[in-house]
Amino acid sequence: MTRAWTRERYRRLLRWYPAEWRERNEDAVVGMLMEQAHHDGLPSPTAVERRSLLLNGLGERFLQPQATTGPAFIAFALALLYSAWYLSLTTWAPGIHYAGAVWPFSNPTPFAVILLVAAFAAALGRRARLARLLAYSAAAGELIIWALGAGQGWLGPSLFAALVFSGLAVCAGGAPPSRRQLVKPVLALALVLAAAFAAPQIPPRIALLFMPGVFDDMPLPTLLVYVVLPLIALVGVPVLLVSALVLVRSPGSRRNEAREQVDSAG
Amino acid sequence: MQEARDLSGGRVDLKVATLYAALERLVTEGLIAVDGDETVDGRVRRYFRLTDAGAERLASEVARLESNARQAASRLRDRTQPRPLGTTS
Repeated sequence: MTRAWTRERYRRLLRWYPAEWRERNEDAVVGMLMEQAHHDGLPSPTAVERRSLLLNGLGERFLQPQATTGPAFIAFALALLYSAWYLSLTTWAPGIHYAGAVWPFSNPTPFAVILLVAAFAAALGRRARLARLLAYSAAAGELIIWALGAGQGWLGPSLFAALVFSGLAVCAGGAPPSRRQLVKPVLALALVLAAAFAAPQIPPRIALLFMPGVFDDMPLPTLLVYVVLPLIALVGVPVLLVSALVLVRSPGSRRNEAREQVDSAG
Repeated sequence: MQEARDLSGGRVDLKVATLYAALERLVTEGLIAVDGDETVDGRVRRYFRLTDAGAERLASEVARLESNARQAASRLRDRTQPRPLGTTS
């Protein structure tokens, strides 16, 4: 096990930390870890070191009080706009009374929206850590409401609606430091939404294609427009998103490649 | 880290991640500042220096700990001295 190999192990462990933190500190921390490993005669990271880097990295990523950034405010704005639309047009039902209703709404989503509004207020008040915790709570709360609603047969929220809300709330709470670093989370969210939308629709459409007699009298252009193209889109969009996620490299990975070239040259 | 271990007689065993989190927090609070990086034997070594605000905070912390220690020593001395008969502690 060479020194470059050990260095690479430590660099990989530092991926638990946010990219912006690694940009600032990675070289110095890897140097310190290498020095410690050399002093203790250890060829590779110990289990204690791995755990410590994991916990501190996640803490730095999710709990540290970083300022709420421009992209995070955009995510807040989108989440609040979506909430306003969802509450006013989809769940507004003052005439409905049942166990899952929170008058005048048809399901308990307003509780998650209240948490999101509180997160936004905390972000405006520069209470970044509180904003983050509230935004994550709103996201988790909406998913819990969806799970409860699905189990109890409530009138929403649908999985699609819950994922949109939670995804935007996580983006708002995550406070990504630059637009470039927002690309991957947005692509991942789009992929989850596309998959959630497409998954229930693909099997019946395929079954319909093989059902005898269904398309016998349908002209080919109509068949293409109404059956084949939607099916291609349902499969193709998630595949395209997966490809984009694989191809889009984070700034950190480009930096690491440059370092690897320097390491191998040295 | 070695120094922390030696000074504490092996009781304090700082991990690099924990130490760096503390250093980052101290830098954010303006109590220490980065004093430059140096590459030694292919490894980057970062130096930190105590700022004036940091020295001030450290001095007040030392004074607080000294006062606590004096109080504790004084109580300990009282405990070891014989009490007059008929009194309670």
